[in-house]
Amino acid sequence: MTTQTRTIFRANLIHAVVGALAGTVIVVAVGTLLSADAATVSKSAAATLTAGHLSQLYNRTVIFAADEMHVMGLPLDRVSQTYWFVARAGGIGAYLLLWVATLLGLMTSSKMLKGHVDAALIVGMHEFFPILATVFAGLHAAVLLGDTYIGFGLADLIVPFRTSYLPLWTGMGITAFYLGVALIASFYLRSRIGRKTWRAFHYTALLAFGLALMHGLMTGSDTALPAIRWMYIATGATILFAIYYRVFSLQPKRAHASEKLAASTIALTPQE
Amino acid sequence: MPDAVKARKPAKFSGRAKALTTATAVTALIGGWSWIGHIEEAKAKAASPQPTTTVSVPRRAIALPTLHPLNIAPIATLVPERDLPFDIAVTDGNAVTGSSVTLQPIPALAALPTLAPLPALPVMPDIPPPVIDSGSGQGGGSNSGDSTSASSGSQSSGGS
Repeated sequence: MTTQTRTIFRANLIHAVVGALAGTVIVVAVGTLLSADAATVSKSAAATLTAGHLSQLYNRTVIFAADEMHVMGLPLDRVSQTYWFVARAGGIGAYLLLWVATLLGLMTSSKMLKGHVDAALIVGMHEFFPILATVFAGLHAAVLLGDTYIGFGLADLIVPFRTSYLPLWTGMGITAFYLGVALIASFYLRSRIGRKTWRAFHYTALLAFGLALMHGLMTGSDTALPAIRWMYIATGATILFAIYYRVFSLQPKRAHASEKLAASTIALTPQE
Repeated sequence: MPDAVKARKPAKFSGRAKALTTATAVTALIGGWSWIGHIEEAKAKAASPQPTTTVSVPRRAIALPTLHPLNIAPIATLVPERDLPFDIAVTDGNAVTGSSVTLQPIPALAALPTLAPLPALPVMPDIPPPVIDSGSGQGGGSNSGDSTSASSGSQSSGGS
């Protein structure tokens, strides 16, 4: 890895950490606002905020936070469902980020957004989203170690198809994670492995997405929910459409190029 | 340079945009965590045999009936009835004054029956005097005190 790519990767990580902190602040702020009723908020916005309103706002925030903590399975103990909830939320989040990254890649290669959005912006997003997706997928797997219901061990989460809990579908998820890590690494090692090899390997991103989709559909506890089921269907359909567009948008260009090549060959052929 | 066309700077996915994206993703993660928690709580409530439903009672002024004041009839004061067989007066310090106290005599207890004399104990026989062995000592060593049998045994073995 060169100094420049190392610097870019480090910058990406720093931005991710800053964003995570900001996200937590946003959640706390939104929670505070939700905990107050409209009258309190409108009065708090005005300069006529009194100590009574502040006290009321504080009390409501504390009650809201306590209720939310209870619902979210906090505080952590042996029978807490926090790990299970975070694993589920993290898995869905990782899948959605991977979907965005895959879709952006297909849109870039098919030049679907050419002329509408700057290519540099798309490429930057296509570079950053897989990193975020992999971090979420890592969180999704790591918190499962704390869950006592299924009782995943470290080896179950590292070695694909080893666990006793739906080994095929769980193994697909682990394989997708490894593929994601390899794809990210290949991006930064592009100059070493060569552009042709990198491009060929980059097609496995579609395989990673497919594995992640099957993993989510078959092992996800929330697949039974209509919203989540339709989310999987919609995201899968958009990727299929993008692949279709990618394949058939390149054909006319290739045909046009071969026609041009044939024409130039004819022109260069010496006439009898 | 009024005629010069400034080239548009290509937009990049800047560090600020990355941080904002991550913030949004983390917010969505925590929101999703809370959402899943709410779903599970709803499932648990639906599965419980006696679901506890919270009924919100609207706040309104309830007209309560005015209670009339209670008229309690005066209770007659009980007059203590003095039915004592003697006339005493108790002053401060519980000192009883008055000399006209006449106590009834306590009835005497009946006399206890006299027990018959115990029967006489039988006379024990006299203790026999100790036997003094003045023989040769054969067949000695017995502590049974039956000196006759001991000496006869020794005699029979000696006679054969």
